[in-house]
Amino acid sequence: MGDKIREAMQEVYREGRFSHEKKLETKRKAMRQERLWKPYLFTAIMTCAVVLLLVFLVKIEPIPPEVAWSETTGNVEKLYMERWQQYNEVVAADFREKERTAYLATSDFSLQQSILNRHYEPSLAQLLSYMSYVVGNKEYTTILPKNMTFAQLTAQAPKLVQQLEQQYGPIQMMTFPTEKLPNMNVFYMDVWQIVGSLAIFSFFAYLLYSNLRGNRNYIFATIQIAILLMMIISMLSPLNEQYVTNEEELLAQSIAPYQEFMGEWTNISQAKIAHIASFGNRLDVLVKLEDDICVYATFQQDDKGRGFIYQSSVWGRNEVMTSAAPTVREQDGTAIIFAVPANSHVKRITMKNNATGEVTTLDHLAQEGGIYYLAHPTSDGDITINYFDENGQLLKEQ
Amino acid sequence: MNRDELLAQAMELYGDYLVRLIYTYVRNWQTAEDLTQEAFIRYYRSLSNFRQEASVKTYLYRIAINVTHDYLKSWKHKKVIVSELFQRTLKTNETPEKIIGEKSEQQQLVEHIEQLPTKYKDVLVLFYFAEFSLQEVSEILNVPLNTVKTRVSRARKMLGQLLEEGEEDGR
Repeated sequence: MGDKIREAMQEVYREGRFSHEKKLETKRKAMRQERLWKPYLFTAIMTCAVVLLLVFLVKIEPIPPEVAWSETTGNVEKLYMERWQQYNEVVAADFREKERTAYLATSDFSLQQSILNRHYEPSLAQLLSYMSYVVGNKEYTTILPKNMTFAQLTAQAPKLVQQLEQQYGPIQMMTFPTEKLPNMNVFYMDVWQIVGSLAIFSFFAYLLYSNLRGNRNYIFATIQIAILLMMIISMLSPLNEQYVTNEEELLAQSIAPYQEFMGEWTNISQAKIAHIASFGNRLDVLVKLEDDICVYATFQQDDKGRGFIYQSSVWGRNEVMTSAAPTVREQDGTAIIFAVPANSHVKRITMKNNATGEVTTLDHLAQEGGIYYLAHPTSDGDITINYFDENGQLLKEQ
Repeated sequence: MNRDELLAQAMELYGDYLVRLIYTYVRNWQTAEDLTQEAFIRYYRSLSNFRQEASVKTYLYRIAINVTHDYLKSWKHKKVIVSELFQRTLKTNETPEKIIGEKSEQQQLVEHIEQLPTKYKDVLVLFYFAEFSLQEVSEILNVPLNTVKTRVSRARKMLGQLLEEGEEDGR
C-alpha cells in the first residue's frame, strides 16, 4: 500500500513546483524580514533606555528646600520642654479628663516638623506622637521620667520610643513627605501589584504577538491592543490630585481659593503661614494675610504618602473659624477644630450638648492664636458653642 | 556555507516536495506555495539556532508541518473553506460521487488521503510520501513512537474503508 500511496501522490502532484520566481521572492523576503528586526530591536532598546532614564530623572529630583515657619517653630527646646511639662501635668492629675482635653487640644505637628528639619534626634518627634497616643486613650497611663533636661531627653528618646513601641506597637507620625514623589500611579504600587500588572501585561502582549504571528484575527488584535494601551495609560497617567508636599505648596493651595474669589489683583505678597496643626489624618493651616485677614484651610493626608490633598478653606478678619473634624480619641463623639487668629479676644470656648447639658471647655487660648481641637463625648443632639473673652464675658454664641 | 547559500540549497532540494506535502492539506497550489515560502523564511530565520542534530530535511518538514497546522487553525483558512463551500453549492449540479467516478484510481486515492483527518494525514504523508522512518515521523510531529504506529495503522484502515466505499459508489 505504501508504494501505491507514494506513486499516486507523485503522479497526481506532478505539477506541484516551488517556482523559480517564488524562490527569488522567498530569498528577498527572508532577507528583508531579517533587516526589519534590527530597527524594531533598536527601537525597543532605545525606548527602554529612555523610560529608565526618565524614571531615574524623576527619582533623583532634588528634595525641596526646607522652610521653617518662624512663628511656630521658635525655640524647639523650649517648646518641647513645655509640652513635656504638660504631659507630666496630665500624669500628675492621674489622667483626668480636663487635663487630657487640654493636652489634646493642640497639635505637635509644627514641633515635630521643626525637630526633623533642624536635625534634632528624630526619636524626640516620635516620642511626641506616643505621648498624644497615650493621652488620647483612656485605658493607657504611661508615666515617663520626670525632671529631665532637653539634653537628657534627647539621649533617652530612642530608648523610650523603643519601649513605647513594644508596649503599643508602631505609630505612624504625620509629616511632610521627605521627598517629592513622582505624580504617577505606577510609583505607588507595591511590589506584588507591579509584578501582577507586569504579568497581565506580558500575557496580553504575548497573546497579541501570537495572534499577529499566527492566525491574525484583527478583532482580537484590536481588543488586545486596547487592553494593553489601557494598562499603560492607567499605570503611567499622571494623578489628578495636586499633592501638597511642603510649606510653599501648602501656603499656595491654602490661599488660592481666596485669591480666586477676590480677583487676580488681590495682594497676597504678605501671606504667611501662622499655624499648622494635625489632628487624625487632617492637616489644618491658618494663613495670615495683610489687613488682619486670615485664611483657614484644611487638607487630608494621602494614604500612600504622596502628601496632602486640599479639602476646604474659609477666611475672615479677626474671627475664630471652625471646621468639623475627625475624632482623635475613641470616646469622642463630635469634634470641632477652631482656628483662632493672633490677638483674638476669644480666650475660652465651650461646647454644650443642649440635650444632655454636658459641657467641654477649651481655655487659656494663646495670645498668638492657634489651631485647637475640642471634642464632645456625644454625637447626638444640638451643640451650642460659646466664645468668651478673658473676663469670662460671652462674646458670641453659635 | 553561509545562510543565504543554505537557504538556496534547501529550496532547490526540498522546495517541490514541501509544496506537494502542504498541498495535501490545503488543496490549493497557490496557498501551498505561499506556505512553503513561509516555511523557508522561518527556516532562514532559525538557522542560527539550528544545531545540525536533526537533518535539514527533518527540520524543514517539521517547520512545514507547523506552518500548515497554523494555517489550518487560522481564520483566513476557515474563511476560504466557507466561501468555497458557498461557491460549490451555487455552481455545480454534479454529485461528488459522479465526479469521483470519472477520476483515475490514483486520483481517487490521493483525494481520499486529502480527506483524512489532519492527524492521520500527518503520519501517512510523512511516512509514505516523504519516506521518513516511524522514528523520524515521531520526532517531526513530537508525538510518541507508539502513537505514530497506531495512527499509521488506523489511517491505512480508514483509507481502505474510504476506497471500498468509493468503489461501491463508482459501481
